Amino acid sequence: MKHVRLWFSKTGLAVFTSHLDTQRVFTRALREAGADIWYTEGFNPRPYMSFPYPLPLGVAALREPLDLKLNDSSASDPDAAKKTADAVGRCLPEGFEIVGYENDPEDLTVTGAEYVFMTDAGEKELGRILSEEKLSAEKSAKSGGKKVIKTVELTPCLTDRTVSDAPGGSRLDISLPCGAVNVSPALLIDALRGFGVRTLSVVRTRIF
Amino acid sequence: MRGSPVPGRRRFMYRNTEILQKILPILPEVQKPASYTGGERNSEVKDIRSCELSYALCFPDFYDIGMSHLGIKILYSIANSDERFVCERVFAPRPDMEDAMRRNGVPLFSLESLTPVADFDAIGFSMQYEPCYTNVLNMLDLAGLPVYAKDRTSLTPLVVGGGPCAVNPEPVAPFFDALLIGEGEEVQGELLSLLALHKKLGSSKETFLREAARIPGVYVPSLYEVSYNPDGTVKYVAATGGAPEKVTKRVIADLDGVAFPKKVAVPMTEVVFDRATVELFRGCTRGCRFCQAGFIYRPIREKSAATVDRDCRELIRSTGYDEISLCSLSSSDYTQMPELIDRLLSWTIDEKVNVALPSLRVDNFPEETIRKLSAVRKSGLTFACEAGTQRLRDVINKNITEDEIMLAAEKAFSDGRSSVKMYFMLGLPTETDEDIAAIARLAQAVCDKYYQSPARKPGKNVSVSVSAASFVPKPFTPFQWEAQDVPEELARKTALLKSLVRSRKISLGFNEVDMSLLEAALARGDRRTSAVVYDAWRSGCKYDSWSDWLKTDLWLAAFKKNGLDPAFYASRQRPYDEVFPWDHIDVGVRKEFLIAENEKAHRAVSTPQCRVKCAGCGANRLCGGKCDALEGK
Repeated sequence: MKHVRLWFSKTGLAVFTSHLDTQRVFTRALREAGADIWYTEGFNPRPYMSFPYPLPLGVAALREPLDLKLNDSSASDPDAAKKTADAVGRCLPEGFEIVGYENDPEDLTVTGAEYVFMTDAGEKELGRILSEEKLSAEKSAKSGGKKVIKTVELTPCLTDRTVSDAPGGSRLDISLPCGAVNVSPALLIDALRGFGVRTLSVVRTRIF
Repeated sequence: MRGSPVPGRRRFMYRNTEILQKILPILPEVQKPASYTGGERNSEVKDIRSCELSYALCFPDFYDIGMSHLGIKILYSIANSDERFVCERVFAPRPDMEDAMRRNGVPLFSLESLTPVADFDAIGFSMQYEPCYTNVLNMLDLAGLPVYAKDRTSLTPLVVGGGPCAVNPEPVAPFFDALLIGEGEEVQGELLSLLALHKKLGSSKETFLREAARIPGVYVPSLYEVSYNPDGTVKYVAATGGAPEKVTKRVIADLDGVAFPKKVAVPMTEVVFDRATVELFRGCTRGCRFCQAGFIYRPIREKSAATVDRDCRELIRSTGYDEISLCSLSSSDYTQMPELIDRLLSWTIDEKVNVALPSLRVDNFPEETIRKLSAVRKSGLTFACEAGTQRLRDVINKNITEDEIMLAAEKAFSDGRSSVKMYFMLGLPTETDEDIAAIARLAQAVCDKYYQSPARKPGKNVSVSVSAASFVPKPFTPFQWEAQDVPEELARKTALLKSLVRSRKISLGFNEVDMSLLEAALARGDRRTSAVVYDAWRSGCKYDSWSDWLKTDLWLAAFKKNGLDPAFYASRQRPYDEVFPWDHIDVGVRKEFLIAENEKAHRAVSTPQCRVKCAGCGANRLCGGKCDALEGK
């Protein structure tokens, strides 16, 4: 078995597919491409795939990891990752592209992600809100097996940011925790909406 | 080693920017936004600005229902294989999206290029079930078009309909310019070609329609006048303007030679049936007297095992699907099944593709086949018994015995299964309370079989789910003269069955009685019911096939407003000499044959299936006397 990582982007109207939809897309693309990937064992064999950093619906991404295992028959082929990347790339629906590949990748330890928000608020106004206002958002969570609503304080997470002017409003470049501790950009969209700021688009430029 | 793949997967992509800009802020706010964006793998994206003819293929229900339907995929593929045409898909927006569209002035648009539907040259609707009629009107309205054909004065957009409901299209006839009766693979292209020609000539719609009516299988309602008797029944339907007295459905004689898609659009979002579907054959030899599909798709035509296998391979190769569904009205009766299964298993096991084989008969259950297929994945099991007593099963010509049902149950359980589904109907002609009690008895007997089975897992209980749907008499069946039970009677029977089933291992399911009444009234409706459909829609009815949307009160009010009674259409026993609103449509099966079957039903006499003895239904007239059930196949 050989580990391979593909990097993909999700842009344009493809941002409206959910994480589950994205998994479906890649499962099919891998099959259509005839990729020599390892299938899970058991009653319902599926291609083994791992991409553990879900994107909320509506958020675009430029470089997301997708980990695969190739069968032993491909293990000796130094070009296996490239071939897989090329083949899969030709089988993807609109808005999905393969942007990179790696053979034998190292484990990913992800703690954060960089985003670019475009909003309809003016640069000064957005800057003011982020500095002076208390930003929080609600998210549903499970506690003791029951669904509860938790309030997440966002202000401490917003330290690494830059606000700049942009056509139609302003641009916010910001890092948010990602991975074991995760702050979804959807929470920030909600929080900003509470102050009358509409987010026009969000792109996750990279994870780190 | 790291790197980037060679770029080069460029796709031509034209999208209507005005619509795009309007929907971008809406999409994040609605459910399943990917239903409206297109971009699916294998969706055909052509430049709609430079084609000879544009065609919007509409399915009058939501994306996740429509994308599970094979017919649309076939018609889409055939239309786009013609270089002159651009065919794009349209589905009914969900209520939240429709609201947002109306509020923001966004007209109904196609998936591939976001082109407003009203800008297409032709708009086609595939109508699968009667409660979709208000969705048709709603979609036309959302497109910004007048719903009545007479109010659409220019040649384009031409509004066309098809699908199984088109065998009695009278309740929606005034809304359509033309209807395609029967199988659409050839006639769709013929109609579109004619339209392209007349569009070039600048012809009027009337000129075009008179020509179109000469294409076999094309029904132009505006060329037919309906006259009524004082009692409300039809006196006659007269053809004018050179249109044929009877419109004969189109039949594809050679299913091996007809076009079938090599690739289909693969939805990214979740849909009801998400797999590669391939037909085995059309028509049905069993002649169950309640079943419209079995009669209107005759004569029997089988695809060869080689063709089915080839179609499966091509679809799997082009989509990445991991499941094939082989579909037909009665898959147990496919004469080439052993050869087909061998062909399929030669590659599906290695490629980890599951083969699903629904629509199997209790009395012709291919055990060996199922065992082979279950090597990949085991699927659920359903027994369509339809009636509880042998007497009633003979009435409806469902020729299975209780012994056969019990044997099938025994085999299922010894295979390790612990759950089965059983389908029945309530309100069948000549039904008595004894027949209903027999449903409960039969379900209990199946339960008991489980506990007699040596293979059952100790401690694991059986689960029998019984579904009892209300019978709806349909045109072109031996029961087209029958009365549907009135809603109160169906409710009483439902309560009776519930009271008779005590075991927790048997779960009961029923369908909405109101929905069945609506279906029955529209299925055998005449042209006057179109006013009811219009008023119902106008007063707020749509998505009628969804029980939480069905507004029975508004429908009843619409009937009343037009001086009509749904019971006249649904629960009236007809005499054999009555002229039906659909008598000017010929689907092959002769009325005399249906009358003979109806008489036998009332004597509880069954008719053997076609391969045992041809009953002379007459459908083979449409294929020069040929029928695959005749040749001893």
